[in-house]
Amino acid sequence: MLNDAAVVTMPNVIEYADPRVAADMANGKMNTDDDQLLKNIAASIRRGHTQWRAGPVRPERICLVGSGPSLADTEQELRQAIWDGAILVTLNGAYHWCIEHGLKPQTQIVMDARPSNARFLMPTVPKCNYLLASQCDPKTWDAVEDREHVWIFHAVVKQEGVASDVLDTFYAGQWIGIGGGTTVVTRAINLLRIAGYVRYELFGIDCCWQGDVHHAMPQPENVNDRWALVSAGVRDKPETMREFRVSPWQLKQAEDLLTIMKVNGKHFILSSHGNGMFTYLLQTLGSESLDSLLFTSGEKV
Amino acid sequence: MNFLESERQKYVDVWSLDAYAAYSPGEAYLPLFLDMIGTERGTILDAGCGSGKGALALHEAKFNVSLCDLTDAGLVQEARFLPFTQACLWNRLAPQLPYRFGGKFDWVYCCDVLEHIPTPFTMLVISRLLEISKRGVFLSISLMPDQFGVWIGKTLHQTVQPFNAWKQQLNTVGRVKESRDLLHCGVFLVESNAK
Repeated sequence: MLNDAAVVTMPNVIEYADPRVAADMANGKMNTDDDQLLKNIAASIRRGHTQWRAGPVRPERICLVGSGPSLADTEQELRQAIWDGAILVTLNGAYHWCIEHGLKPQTQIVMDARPSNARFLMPTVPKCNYLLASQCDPKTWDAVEDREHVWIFHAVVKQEGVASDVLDTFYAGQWIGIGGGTTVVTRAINLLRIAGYVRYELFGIDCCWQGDVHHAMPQPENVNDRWALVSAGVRDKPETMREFRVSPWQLKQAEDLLTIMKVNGKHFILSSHGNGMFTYLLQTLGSESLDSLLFTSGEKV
Repeated sequence: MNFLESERQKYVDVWSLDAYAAYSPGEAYLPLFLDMIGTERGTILDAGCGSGKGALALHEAKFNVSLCDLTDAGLVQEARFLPFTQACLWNRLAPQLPYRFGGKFDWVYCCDVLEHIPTPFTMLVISRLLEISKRGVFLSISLMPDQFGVWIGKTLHQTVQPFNAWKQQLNTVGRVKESRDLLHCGVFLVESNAK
C-alpha cells in the first residue's frame, strides 16, 4: 500500500520516510507476467526487424514527449522547440496528442507488453520511426507490419534470465540490452543515448497527477490507478517540500529517472518542462547534488 | 587481366594474410542455419567457401557438402577432401558445377560473400544461387566496411548497405523466409519464388 503521507527526500536518489512505501517501490509488480513477456519476445524476434543499434554522438536536441497532464500547459514551448529544429520523439499516447495538435512525431517508442498498446501506433505517420520493444504483444507488432521504418529493441538485461538466453541464441549474442527502469520514459532515454543523442528536453513527463487528471488524454488503463499525496523536496530544507498526487508507478518512474541521472548523468544533458513533480525535483535540486547534470527547467539546454 | 581474373587475384592475395583466414563466418553461423532449417539435412553447396572451415562444420553436421569459390587459395588442408569447383557466382552455376546431384542442391550456404560482390551483380548472384537450390539459400552478409582490403590495396566489401536494404532486395528475387539482424551482419534464409 502506498501511504498517504510518504516523504520523498534527496539525495540517495529517493529516501522514503515510510518503510511500506519503500517496500512497495522495491517490489513493484509488472503489468504483464514473465511467461507472457517471454512468449512475446520469442514471437517478435522472428519477424526479422532491424535491431536498434549504437551510433556516434549526435548534436540534435530530442523533445521526449510523454502523456502527463502538463503537456497541455507546455504546448507552445514544445512547438517552439520543434520549430527550432529539435527532434520530436513520442511515447505511447503522446503520439496521438501530438498528431491532434498538429505536431508530426519523428519517432514513436512503445515498450508496454499489453495488447491494447497497439492503438498507440495508429494512424501511420509517413517517415516516422517506430521503435518497439521485443516484449510488445503480437498485436502491437501487427500494427507496424508493413511500415518502412520499424526497429526492434530489447528491454532486457544481458546475461540475466531466460529472455537473455533466448536472445543470445537467436542473435548469436549480437544484441544490445536496454536497461533502466520500469516505464518507457527511462528506457527511451537509454535507447536514444545508445544511438548517440545527448540532449533531451522532457515534456509531459510529470510523474504525478494534475488535479484529477492522470494523463493529458483519456487512458482507460489508468482509470482505476491508486494514488496518494506525496511531499517531495530536499532533505533538511522543509521550505522545498511540495505536495503532489501520485500513483505508485509515477513515484517509481521518478525514482527511475533520478537513478539513471545519478548513474549515467554525465553522458547526457536533460531538462524538463511543465509543473509536474519531476520538473519540480530538478528545479529544487539545481546542480548541487548531481553536479554532472545540467538541471534546468522550462529552458532550452 | 580481365575483371574476373583481377577479382580472383585479389582473393589469392588476401588469403595470404593469416589474420584474414583466422575467422570463419561459415563456421560461426552454422547454429543459426540449423535453427532455421530444423532437423532437415541433405546436399549442400558452400558457395564462396573461402577457407572451407564452414564446409567442414557442415560436414560434421551430417550434410553432403560441395564447395565452390573463385579460388581455392584460402582452402585449409583439412577441407581439401571435399569436392571443390572453381566458379564465379554471377555466372550460371549449373554448367560450372559437376552434375553431381542432378544440377541442384537441397541447400546453398553462402556466408560473408555477398558484400564482396560488385553492387550491380548482387541480386544476379542470388538468382544464380536460387536456381541451383531446392529448399533455400542461407546467407550471412556483413553490414560493415572491410578491415583487410587496406593490406592489399583493394576494397573487399564492395557492397555495404543496411540490413533492411538487403532484405528488401532479396525479396525482389526470392522470398525471405527468415531474417536476423546481428548488428554487424545480417543472416537470411531465402526461398525461390518459383516454389
